[in-house]
Amino acid sequence: MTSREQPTSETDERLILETDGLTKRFGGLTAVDDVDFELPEGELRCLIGPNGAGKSTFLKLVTGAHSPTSGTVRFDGEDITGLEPHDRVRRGMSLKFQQISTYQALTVEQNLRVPTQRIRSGQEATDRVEELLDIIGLSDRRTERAGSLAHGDQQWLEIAMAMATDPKLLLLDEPTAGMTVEETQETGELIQDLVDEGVTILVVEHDINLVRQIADRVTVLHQGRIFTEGTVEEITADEDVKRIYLGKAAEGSA
Amino acid sequence: MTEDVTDESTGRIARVRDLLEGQNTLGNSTKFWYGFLVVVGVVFVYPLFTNPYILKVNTNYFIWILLALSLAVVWGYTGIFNFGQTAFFGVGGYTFGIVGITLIDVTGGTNVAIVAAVVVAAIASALLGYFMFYGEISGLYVAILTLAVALTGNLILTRTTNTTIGAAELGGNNGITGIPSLTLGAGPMSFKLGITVQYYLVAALLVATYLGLRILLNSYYGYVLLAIREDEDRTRMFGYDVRNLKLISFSLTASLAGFAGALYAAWGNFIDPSIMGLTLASLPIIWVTVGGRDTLIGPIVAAYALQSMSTKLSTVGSGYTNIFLGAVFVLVVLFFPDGLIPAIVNWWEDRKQGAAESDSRRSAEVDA
Repeated sequence: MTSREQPTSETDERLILETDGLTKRFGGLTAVDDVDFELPEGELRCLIGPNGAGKSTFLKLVTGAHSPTSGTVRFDGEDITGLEPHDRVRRGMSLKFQQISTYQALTVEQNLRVPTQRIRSGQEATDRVEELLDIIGLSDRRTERAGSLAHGDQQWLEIAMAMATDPKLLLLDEPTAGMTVEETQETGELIQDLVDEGVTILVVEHDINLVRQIADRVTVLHQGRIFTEGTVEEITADEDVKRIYLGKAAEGSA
Repeated sequence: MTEDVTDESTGRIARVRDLLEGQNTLGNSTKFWYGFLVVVGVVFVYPLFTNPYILKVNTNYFIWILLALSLAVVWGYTGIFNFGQTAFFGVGGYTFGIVGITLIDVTGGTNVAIVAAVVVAAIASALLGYFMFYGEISGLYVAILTLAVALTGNLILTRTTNTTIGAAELGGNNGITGIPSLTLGAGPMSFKLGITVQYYLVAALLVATYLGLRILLNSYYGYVLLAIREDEDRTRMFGYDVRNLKLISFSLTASLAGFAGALYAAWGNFIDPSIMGLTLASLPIIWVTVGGRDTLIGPIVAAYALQSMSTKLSTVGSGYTNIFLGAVFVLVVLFFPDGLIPAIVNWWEDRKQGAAESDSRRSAEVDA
């Protein structure tokens, strides 16, 4: 459809994540409704939508925290619908939670060690921890407890922890929540660096500025369904999207 | 030539230290290890300077320390508040008593009884742990459930008057008497251990357990256990099978408690249902809390100190022990919630840092 999509079209496009008729009902409420979602390898996709659109539930269906009422989740070509969360992660998926989930009482180094050691051991693990410390600029604060770090540093630490398992797919749930404008900008750059390294990334985000900065394509969820999908320009120009999403946000802030 | 040998041996020491040390345990300096060797040395020459009664009492303290260590790992490091660790201590003790009495005339020794005690404690804890962790029971409910198991065990055992298993009379409230002492060797070559040898054996087991746990806690598993304590969901999403790992930690430490229980039964030649009672269930919690639950050295020091003080107090009059332990527990929780040993370590490091800072300030002033 767009010029951007042309080179990787049809058959040679390898999907890292694919949902088929994915549905989740909580009693009478259908939080996620028949979602067919496709995420090609190497893409940076943003998932947006107003509160209650089903973004979090969708993410939980992907990670396995919820099991779907119907439909399937395929990851890297395999059906993972019936797998436990830890088994999904072991196949190469990683999640950064929305709320800060660093290990508060452990040191920065211990925090990084936990995810790193699952796939690396010995000197290799130590080297990787050093490398990650360096990337997020916390090398000289390694012995501090994670809980004593500033909010932005903790978010970065957590992104580094999510990267420590060398995922093929990185799920970021509102990675810049609570960050300053500059921190958000820097986080955007960090995320783009990760894409350049070949990681596929799905970002659930509220901050439209970050979405503008980083996204290849944007998927808009509304009332549990995919409302529309397209490039950032298309989405921000879409009057219907403005009505359901941006309009709502403006209302909320007013 | 000699240089090569020393190089090789320092290399070996460095490798061993590498296994034992890490940020998950206290005591990673050369000074600490010298102190450790001194303490171990004192423990091992102590029998030369004291009487068998004191040795016997100290052997008992060492057994309590094993129980304290088992709780420190499952509660302090893994975050599973096992209020009924004494249930598995008791299971180990009773199993040792029953199997020991039944087989002592057949095999001549207690090796089978020791193994049986550990195996039965492992199976019992694995069953309970399976239902708890795969049933997604966590937090305070684990504490309630494990305590209920201990108290139920206590109730059942008090109603075993005139019940025999094998050649052992369970004896209800009176407990099992005539449990054999530990033996070494096998079959007809078995020989009973005297008080001093038993002291040495238990002390050696204690040192081995401490070092073994340090290796465990500074390895892959140590990090995983800490991660589970801090945040189960986060840890699961790093690809760890949290339920399974909690089950392993729970039953491994319960097996250690069962082993300690077997040593206890052999030590006193006796065990009774009070071992699974409420008072005893709370003792390990007190030791571990007072010493510092996410350390190993804290529970060791606290279990030893509190138990030896309790023994002294009990000669003054009954009831003082519990008042004393209760008061210490409340005071420590109020003023040093992380325990005394971590508080002392922090204070020491702050002082050292403060001294270093004032030193540099002084030298800066001199320079100026």
